[in-house]
Amino acid sequence: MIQGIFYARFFPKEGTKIVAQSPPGCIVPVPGGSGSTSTAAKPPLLDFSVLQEYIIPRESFRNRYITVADPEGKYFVLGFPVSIPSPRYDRNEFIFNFGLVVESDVDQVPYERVVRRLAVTFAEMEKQSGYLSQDVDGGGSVGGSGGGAGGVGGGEHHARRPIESLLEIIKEDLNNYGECMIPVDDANTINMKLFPHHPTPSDVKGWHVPVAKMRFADIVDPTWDLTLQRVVAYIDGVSDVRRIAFLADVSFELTVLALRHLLYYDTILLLDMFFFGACYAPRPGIHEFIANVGGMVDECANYVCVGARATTTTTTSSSGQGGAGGGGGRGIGDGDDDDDDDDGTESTDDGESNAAAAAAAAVHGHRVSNYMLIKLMTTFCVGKTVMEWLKGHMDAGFDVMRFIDVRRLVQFGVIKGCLYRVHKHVVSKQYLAALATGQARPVAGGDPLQKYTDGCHTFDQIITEQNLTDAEIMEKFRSFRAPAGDLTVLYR
Amino acid sequence: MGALPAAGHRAGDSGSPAATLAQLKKVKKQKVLLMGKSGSGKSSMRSIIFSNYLARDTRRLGATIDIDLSHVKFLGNLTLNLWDCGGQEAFMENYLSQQRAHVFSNVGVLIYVFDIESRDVERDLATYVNIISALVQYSREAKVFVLIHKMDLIQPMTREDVFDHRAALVRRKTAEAVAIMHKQKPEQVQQQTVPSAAGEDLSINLQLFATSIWDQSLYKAWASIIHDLVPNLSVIEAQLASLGLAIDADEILLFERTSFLVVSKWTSREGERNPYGDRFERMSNILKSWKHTCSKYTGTPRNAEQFSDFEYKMGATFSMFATKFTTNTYILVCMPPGEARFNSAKLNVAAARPWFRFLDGPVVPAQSAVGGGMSSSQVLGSTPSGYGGEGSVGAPDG
Repeated sequence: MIQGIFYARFFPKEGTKIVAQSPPGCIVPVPGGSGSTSTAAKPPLLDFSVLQEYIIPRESFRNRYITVADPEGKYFVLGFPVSIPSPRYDRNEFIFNFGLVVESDVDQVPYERVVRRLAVTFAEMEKQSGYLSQDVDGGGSVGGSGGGAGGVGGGEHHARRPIESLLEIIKEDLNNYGECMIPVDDANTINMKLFPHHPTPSDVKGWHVPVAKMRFADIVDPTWDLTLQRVVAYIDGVSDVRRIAFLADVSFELTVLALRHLLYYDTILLLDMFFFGACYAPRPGIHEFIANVGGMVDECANYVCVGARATTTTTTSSSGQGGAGGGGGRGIGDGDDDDDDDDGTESTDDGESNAAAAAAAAVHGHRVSNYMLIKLMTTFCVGKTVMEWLKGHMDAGFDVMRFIDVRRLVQFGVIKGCLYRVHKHVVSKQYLAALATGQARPVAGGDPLQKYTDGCHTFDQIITEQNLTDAEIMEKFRSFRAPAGDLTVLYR
Repeated sequence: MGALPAAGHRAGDSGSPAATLAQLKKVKKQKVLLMGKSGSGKSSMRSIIFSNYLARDTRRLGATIDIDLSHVKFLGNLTLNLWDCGGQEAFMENYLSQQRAHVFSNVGVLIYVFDIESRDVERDLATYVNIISALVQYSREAKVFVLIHKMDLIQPMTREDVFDHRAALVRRKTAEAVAIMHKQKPEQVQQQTVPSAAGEDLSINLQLFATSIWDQSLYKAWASIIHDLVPNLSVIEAQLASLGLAIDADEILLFERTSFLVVSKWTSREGERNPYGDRFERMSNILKSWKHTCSKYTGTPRNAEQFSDFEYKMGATFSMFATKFTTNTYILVCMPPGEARFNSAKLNVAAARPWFRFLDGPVVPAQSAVGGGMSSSQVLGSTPSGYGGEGSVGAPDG
């Protein structure tokens, strides 16, 4: 919310003064009886005499965006002091500032553009026609625009709009509608909009797996970008980016772009690929899971438990082949009940329509106990693949596959910060040494895998980029022309 | 006038070297406030004196926002902490309320500039009185210089009258302001001052000058301001005197390098007869504009050293030279004609440089028990004298 908006100007005799403000009295008290109504009692938001040296600052601070906190820390003043040097002004300069007052806890980024826009627009208008300097000392409502325009528009002979009222409209419109369009004079209109600010999305890599945070099928409409529409159709929480590009028949670069777009609006998450051969280990977040903070375990149960008729579970294992079983896991236990979660764990599988109602019933029929879920979650550890983990529990007498969608359990753990993926890297001492001395040379035989042996590349990357399975890669590395012990596989 | 009580007061504690040292230190730290109504020409004169601006360049200056702090290095061991205070009403109010203690404490010198052209004299004086009150409250020892500025706008015939009238007015107002402050806070004043000197404390150290950026009057005022701040002044004067006697000169002027303000001077008995009382500031002005001309023709920056030696031999009338002396100073020597005398004087001046080395760096005066402020009552250019030729040095008249 904009608490106040003002127009300050430097006068060669009086110094810095607030010429216009809205609401009246928000910066400096309104003089005289004009404000003798109820608003007069309201004290100014901040102490202008303290802040004035930042509202019209010394030269080095001018012509740039400035934010100042008031001494009490309640408000921020966002301003852009503009100085227009010209010999036609008294003291060779015209200095003004259109500023906003916002609460100190508000995100200031959207307002920066507003402040900049106001500064630039009015500076330009001043340069072209002396719009501000012809305004008779804050008296407002003076029809002095005749300087350059000369009343071009036939009907527009009205005295020009006082800046005070302009500010009021800007403030009201931005606060109520988030945008404004205000004709200032015949030639100029101020168009402004408050845009929510999102940070630049992180890079999307070929081996990332996008997981939807909302049901795209419901919101997508034909006006969307065509590429985006195609890409969105294949976001199923299982397929990696490269596979999505392939399935959607979209170039990899465009797919990445589309996904980053979705990422920017915080509609997808990026996870790693799921393999039964991968390792996972607990993170500190596991404590919250154990303590069942906010009903986390129940939420997990809803997400991961499989119905008794889940005969398709076996196909999930095929995803161990470089995510080949992309479609395999979908539709399992995809109960509608967890779709309303605001935490973004839900995965909108496009195949969920099959027997949704039946599945919902089935889930509740076979809910795994909290104890068991916690036990499952906490038994992941470094050096134990999901397969081994699975086997351990099977041997202990709990048929995990019957009750649990393992992929979903792992994804839930990763999203909630209970688990992290232990990535697999390979390092070649020889290659590192060659890199360090700057003589890394392409291998004669053209082994495409050598470039991955500097320890900076995960197996996921090799898998997607070389289209090999984990086992195949290991096999290739074993047959590497290298001295024994040169290659090391690292997990971290 | 007002210099006497302050000097007398100080004489009490200037006996020990420690006191001198403390005083020296204090002088170095003290700040110089430059105040006055907006547009009265504070920043302009500052730029001319310290930044090598030409008078006409000052038209380009913008208004000063709030306070412009600058540390002007003056000689080796004096840094002027110059506070150029924007004179807009809003700022003035701020100095007097919000920043009162910040601005007015520890002030060495207040330079207050009046615009002679100002319409609202009453209001100007009211502001001035407020400033003086604040100054008396926080820095009792401060010296006050009042410059009645823009005198070039007054008809030359009436200048003196106008100045005298205004000066009387300012003096009266100052006295009133001080008296009021004493009445308001008698206990505080008593505590701050030596009881025996309480009677004299009722006046403050005030000097008035009529100035204009378009002639040498500005240099006169500023030389006098600077004069009081220069440490070891008595040493400089004593050594200049012995140098002058040794080389048989008529007059010696010592200039600061960038501002070309007269730091110190010595005049022989013969030189005292010079009728031109304003010759010192005229020389400042002439040398400075000459410097500008040099810079224009050589294309070097204005702040660079433009010349190292300047000789002028006026046939049988006199001869003079101005030359680079120590790192921070130039020296100008004026003497009776004669080639041999001239040449030996030049050599002797070069030989005297080591004597003045202390001008370039902080050195505590060992032999001087006399405070620098003692000689402050002697104002530049006030000595009437009859001496031919010197005043027309800059103009090649034959």
